[in-house]
Order: sequence, then structure tokens, then C-alpha cells
Amino acid sequence: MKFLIKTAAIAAALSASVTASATTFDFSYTFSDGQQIAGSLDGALSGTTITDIRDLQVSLNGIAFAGGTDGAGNATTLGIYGYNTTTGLFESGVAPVLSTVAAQNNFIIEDLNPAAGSTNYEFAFVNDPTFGATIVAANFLHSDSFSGPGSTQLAIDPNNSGVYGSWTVKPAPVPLPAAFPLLASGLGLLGGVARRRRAAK
Amino acid sequence: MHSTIKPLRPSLVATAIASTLALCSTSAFAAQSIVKGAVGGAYFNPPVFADTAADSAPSSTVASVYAGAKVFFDLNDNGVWDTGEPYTTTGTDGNFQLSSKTPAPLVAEIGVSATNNGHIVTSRNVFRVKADQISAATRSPVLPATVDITPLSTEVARAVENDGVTFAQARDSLAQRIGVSANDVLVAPTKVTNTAELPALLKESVIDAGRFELAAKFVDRGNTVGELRGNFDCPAVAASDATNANPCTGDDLKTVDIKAAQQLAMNLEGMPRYDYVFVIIEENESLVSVKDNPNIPYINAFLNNGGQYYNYYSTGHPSEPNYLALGSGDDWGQTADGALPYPGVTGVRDNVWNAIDKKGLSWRVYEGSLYPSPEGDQSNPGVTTGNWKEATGGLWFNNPANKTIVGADGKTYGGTTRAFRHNPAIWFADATAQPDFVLNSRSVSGTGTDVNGNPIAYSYGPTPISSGDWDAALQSYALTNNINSWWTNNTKPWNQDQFKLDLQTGDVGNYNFIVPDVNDDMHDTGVTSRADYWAQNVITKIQSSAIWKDPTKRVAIVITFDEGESAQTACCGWNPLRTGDAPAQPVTVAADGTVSVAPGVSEITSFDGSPYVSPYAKGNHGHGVTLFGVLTNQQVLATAPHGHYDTDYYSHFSFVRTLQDILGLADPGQPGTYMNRSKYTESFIEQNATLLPEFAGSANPHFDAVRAMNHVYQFPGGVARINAAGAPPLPVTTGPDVDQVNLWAIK
Repeated sequence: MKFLIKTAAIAAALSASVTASATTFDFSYTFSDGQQIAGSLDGALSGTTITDIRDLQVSLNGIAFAGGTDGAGNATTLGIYGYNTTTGLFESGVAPVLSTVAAQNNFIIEDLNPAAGSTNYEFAFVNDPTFGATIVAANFLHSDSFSGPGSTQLAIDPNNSGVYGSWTVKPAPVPLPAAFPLLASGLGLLGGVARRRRAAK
Repeated sequence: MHSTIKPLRPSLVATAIASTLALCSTSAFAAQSIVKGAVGGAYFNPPVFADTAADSAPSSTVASVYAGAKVFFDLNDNGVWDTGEPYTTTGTDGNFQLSSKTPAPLVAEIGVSATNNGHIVTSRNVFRVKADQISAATRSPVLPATVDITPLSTEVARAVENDGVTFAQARDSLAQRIGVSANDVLVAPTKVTNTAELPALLKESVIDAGRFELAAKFVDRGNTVGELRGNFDCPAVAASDATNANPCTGDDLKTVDIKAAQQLAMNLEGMPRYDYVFVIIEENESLVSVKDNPNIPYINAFLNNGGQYYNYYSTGHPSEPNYLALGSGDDWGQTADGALPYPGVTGVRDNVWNAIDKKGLSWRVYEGSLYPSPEGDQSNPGVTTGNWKEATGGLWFNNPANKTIVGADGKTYGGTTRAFRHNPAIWFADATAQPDFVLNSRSVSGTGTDVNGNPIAYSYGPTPISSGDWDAALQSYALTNNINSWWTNNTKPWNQDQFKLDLQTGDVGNYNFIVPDVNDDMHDTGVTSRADYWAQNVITKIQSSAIWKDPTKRVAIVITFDEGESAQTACCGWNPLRTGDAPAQPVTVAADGTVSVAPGVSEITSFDGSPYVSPYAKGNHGHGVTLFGVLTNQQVLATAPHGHYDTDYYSHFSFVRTLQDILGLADPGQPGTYMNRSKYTESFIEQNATLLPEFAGSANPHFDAVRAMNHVYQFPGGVARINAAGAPPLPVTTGPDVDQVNLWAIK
């Protein structure tokens, strides 16, 4: 009986570790011209909105919003900010709204040097009752031609018609390759304990 | 994908966010620019000119987009793309989207590989957008601003740079000037949903695009500031002219960049663009006979308030050669009235009317005492009889029943009250064959109220009772006989004063030539108050209109005469000392720059095809100095200089050249583009001396050459002006003027 209880406790612990990984979400947006934003973040899902966002990772057409330096050599940092639909500005004190429902989004993810206001990358998803819904992604580090299939580093979806491109937010899949050794070691540990008990008897 | 990303440390992220939020009370992300829009404007299909209506076609204009245009953020604001400046190319829909880490103006480079509405662009153009326009269209710097790059956005950019105004002021001024909303004025015409605004947007797009196309040519050819601003010694000093005290030096020698070129394209040879020009033509008086003459106090007050030219020469004698000159910059060798049939200048010759049509602008000829006729037609009915003086209907008709209409003074309507030869548009077969010829030939009255219904009392005594005496009688005749007007395609009742109605509705032309009848133009009545009141009545109507009162519109009124009544001499396009040795003229310049003598006079025939021998080779030597005054609404309403005079030498040919500058009809970087004799500048005569033997032995090449009426030429002190033998003394005859103010200047 004790064995079963301990086994259940260990299994619960493993399960808890899997539940913690579910706060990682993958998101993606496919623009009408085929360009694609993909990324992940950690956060807590509350209803349709994700809060407490951290560990952002984003890429545009496979090129990561990597964080780097601005033109003056200062460090840039990836962050997410909220959009004030009244003023049309991204303001302090306004929480970003990143939702599983496209029509609820109001956020911008930027890689920037806040002190200089110098931006390297941005992905904005805005539903502004005045301006209209707009989704835009830009790689400002490309200072030359953006034209031509596959080389565009600016994507814009005006959305006055209310039709969005493909926006998905979903929990990241459990990283099975990493869990298996843990599970195996756990099971091995249990087996070892059992053998030791049998030997003791 | 994720495996390639180095995760950010949460503590670092938290610090950054905290720092960001602390700093971005409003917009901490402003130092960037994202735009989307279209490169758009208008596609202008020019008219087809031919001597017959069947072979002619009017112009047409549609909203258009430019595909294949290179759009770039002009980070250093020099108007050209430099390595590293973000750029893209417009798609087949004319659209583009572009981002820049640094806010900057936008430029669309429209090369010959681009298309306009699917048509290959044949001449490079450059459109621009000020950074302030992008800023004004920006909801948030991280969201795309919708900005179209158009001829009108370029005009706004040019105005901001030249006029010391803000973007919003320049935008609103342009919107007001062309009569559209500020919301639509900078929108690509293909996107404009207000169809009532579209015609004005398209017209301005055509005009501006044409000017800016000129600017790109200036740059591509390496034109210098001096030659474009009208210093006629630039770029090469005229070797034969030692009298110019304004040589080509300093800034005049600099080649222009695109931004400077766009300014000069709106100021060709120093002549500002005007939106409306009204010319009132009087008859047969010299400057000395009208200047300060107490019989015409209104006209003299007009002159004193505006600007006056003291050496303005007529180009021939009698009337007909002068009206030909005013209509085309050449008199085609005429030395008599009724000598040249109308429309007898055949072979598709350059003339003012077609040049205006070719640029998408409009013109009108308003004539006094027009006889109401139900047979409006663009063809001369006289062709059926072979007698051009016996036309039987429509605008070609003088008076079919001159005994049936009685004027206010009890006299019957005279058959020659309206002198058809005083209409400067009738001579050119290719102009009369255009559909708009009939529509542009309209009536004017020198009597009645202003456009707001207020009486116009003569300012200097009792209103002369005979002024406009025929108008009521002719109007009554039209009503009694249910005669409609040919300028409305006979769809609306005859109006003896269509001019006033056009002023009320804004339907006047960009160029308006106003011809009083022979009783109101001093021809039959001399320098009397009758002509003075007629001028006052017409000018008061102009000045009571919304067009004149709107300072965003540039309006000029000219009073001049067809000829003086003094010495048989001329300047500026003639060598008055030589006769009888000119070849067939005029000299023309082909698009490739080839200069040749036009197959000219031998091809001029009468309207019915019968041979007509013009005495072109003998030339004509004018009829002396007459009056030329200009008053603008910029002088009256704004800060343009007024009350000045200019004593340089000019002629009707000079005015036609000036008109080409004001309306943007020619290219000062390519002198051969000026029509007929108006291209005969000092440098042109020098460079083509073998083709212009009539100018050999000139007493003074400056006196004999044509130039814009821009007051650039500076006479050195003590230089005695040339006065033709027999000419009366001029107010100023030696040395420089008290100033060199351009009488058409805006500021």
C-alpha cells in the first residue's frame, strides 16, 4: 500500500511538472501575403487572455527578433506592451491584451532600446475602433530592398473588413523527449526502491 | 526554430520592461516609420490636332496608378535614392509598403520602366511626400500610416520648402485652391470616392505632373539655375550683347538638383504659375496717348495700382498681324486686315490654344456683341461658298440681319460691331477643328451688375450710356427667337454675358482673352470714357468673383492694346532695320534638337484649300509702343509688390513667351519648345544665325530678341535705350530702372 502511495506521489509530481510546462504558449500569425509571425511565451491563460507574459520569443519569416543592439551600440530588449485604443498610443499602465481571439488583441512586441526609442523589430496586433484593426510586423534592421518574394521584411494586414489572417495561440506541446529520461529515471528509482525492500525482506 | 533562440533572462526582461514603461508615458517607439499607400495621379491622353474635325480628338484624363515606381525613404532628403535607403517597387496596382528605422520623406522615382495606368512612362518623373505628411497620417508610429505619393503631395512638399508654411497650411491651401476637401487632396485619385471632387483632382494632377516632369528633365540635362530663371545670358553669355549688367555668374552657374528643379518648374524663367489670366485687349492706341489720359481714369488707376511696362511693342500693322501674334507668337507675315483667311493657318502649327489644351488646361475667348445664332458649329459654313467673309451661322457669323436689331442708342446693329479679326483663336485650322473651340468661344458684356448682383457705377462720373448698348437688344433677340448658346452645345439659353455666369460658377478658363466690340475697345470711339467704363465693368465682375477673392488662387488681369499708333517699328522678335530677306519662317526645333526652317508659308492656305501667298519673308515691323499693364489678386489681397514699372523691351511675342511660362507650356531648358517667334532669344538667334539672316546686322541684339517679361535684364547706367525712329519719348530711356521687380511676382 505504501508502495502504491509513493508511486502515486511520484506520478503526481511528474504530472505537476508537465502541468507547469503548459504555461508556455505558441502563437503564430499568417499575413494575407503569406508572410508569417511565429513565437512563444510563458504566461497564464485567463479566459481567452494570457497574462503574466514572459520569456517572449518571436520570429518573422524565420528570422528571430533576436535582441541585439541599436544603431548606437546599446542593447535592445524584447518586450510586450499594451495599446491604448483611445489615444492610439502604446502607453505605460496599459496592459497588453494577447488573446486567443484575434479580435481582442491589442499589443505590440518590440525589440528596442527604450532609452533611445530605437526599434529593431516589431509585431503589433491592434484592434482600434478609430483606426481599424491592423496587424504589422517589421524588421527594421533590413535597410535595403524589402521587395521580392521571400525577402520582404515588412508585413501589413489592414483589417477594416473584419477579416483576419490566421491567428493561433495554443499551449506548447509537452516536450516529450525531455520528459522521457525523467520518467525513466523515476521509474528506475521506484524499481530500485522495490528491489531493496524485497532484498531486505 | 525555438532552439535557435537564446532565451532572455527574465530578470533582464523585467528590467527592460520597467525601464520602458517608465519612459514611454506616451510613445517611446516614435523613431521609426511604416507606410503603405499608392503612387497615383492621372493619366492624360493628349488631344489629337489636325486641320479637320474628323481627324481631331479632344484630350481625356483618368485616375491612374504608377506601377514599377521605385519608392524610397529619402533619409538625407536630397530627392534621389542613395545606397542604404529603404526602398521598394510599386506593384501592378501601384501599391507599396515600406518601413524605415528612421522617419524621413518619401520619394517615388518614376522611371521610364514604370507604367502609368498601363502606359509606358516616356519621361522620368519624381514625386515626393514630406515627412510631416507621414506624421500627420500616423495614428501611432508603430502602426502603418496610409500615405499616397502623388503630384499633389509633391506640390505640397514644394510649397512647404518654398513658401515658409507648414505642411498643414500647404495642404489646406492647395485644397482650397482647387476646391476639394483637405481630406481628399492628398489621396490618390483612384481612391477618391467623392466624384464631385475628382475632376479638379485630376486636372491638378495633370498640371503638377507636367511641371515636375519638366523638373526631372532639368536635372537630367544638367540645366543651370540661370537659364531656368530667365537670365538670358545663361549658360552662355551672348557674345554680341555687351549691355547686360546681369551676367551669368555665381548661383546662376549651378546645376539644379531635383528639389531646386521642382521650384524652378513652378517658376519658369522667373514667371510664377498663375491659375487664371484675363487679358482685355484694346485697340489702336500708343502708350503716350493713353498714359495719364484723363478720359480713361479707371484704366490709369488700374495701371498705377498694378505694374506697367513702358517699352511694350506691337508686332505689326494693322490689327490682324497683332492678333495672330497674340494667338501664336508669330504674325505669319500678315501686313493687312482680311489678308489671311480664317482658319487659314494650316499644317498643325503651334498656337496658344492648342498648347493650353495639350497641357490639360483650359482657355476661353470672350467676345462682346456676339450675334445670337442657332447654328453653333465648329466648321466655317463659309467653306461652302468659298468666301470666308460671308459665313452664315454660328460663331463664325457677324450679323445676318443687321437691320433688325436696335441698340440702346437707337442705332441698328452693325455688321462689323464685333470684329472677327480681333479673335486671336480663329486663324488656326487645328485649333478650330478641336471640339472645344466652339465650347470656348463665348460672350461677354461690359454692362450690368457684378457677379453678386451689385450695380457697377462708373467711378469717375456718369456711367457712359452707350457702353454695352447692344447687349440688351441682342439678349432680347435671342429670347424672342429661342436661341440657345453654342458653347453649351445648344442645350442652354443664349446668355449675352456668359462671362459673368462663368465667373459665378468658376467655369472661366485658365486663360481668358476678352475682346470688346469695336465701340468699346477704342477702335471706333477713341480714348473715351466708354472704353474706360467697359473695362471697369468687366474688371469689377472679375474682382467680385470668388476666384479673385481667394488668395490661394493666383489671378492676373492684363490690359493691353493690339497696336500703338506711332512709329512703324517693333522690337523683340524682329530686326526692324531689315526687310525682305527673311527665309520661310519660323525656325522650328525638333524633339531631337534638330533646328530647321519650317515648311511654312507656302503651306498656308485658305480654308477652302485655295492657294494663299503669305508675304512672310518681308516680315512686319510693328506699330510702336503701346500700353501693357498687369494687376493681380496677389497684389491686392496679399503681399505681392505693386506700383512698379519695367522699361525693358517686350512685344506680343514676349507676352506669348511669358504666357507659356506662366501656364507651364514650354521648357526653358530646351529653348526650341517655345512656339514660333517667341523662341527667338538672344542666344537662340546667335546659335542659329544662318537660319535667321533677318537678324544679321542687328543694331542691338537685345532690342531685337524675345524674352520673358521678367525684368531680369539690367541696363547699365548711362546706356541709352533704343528708340525707333519717330517713336515718342519714353518715360525712362536710359540706365537701370529704380528696381528690378518682376511685375508678375508673387512676393
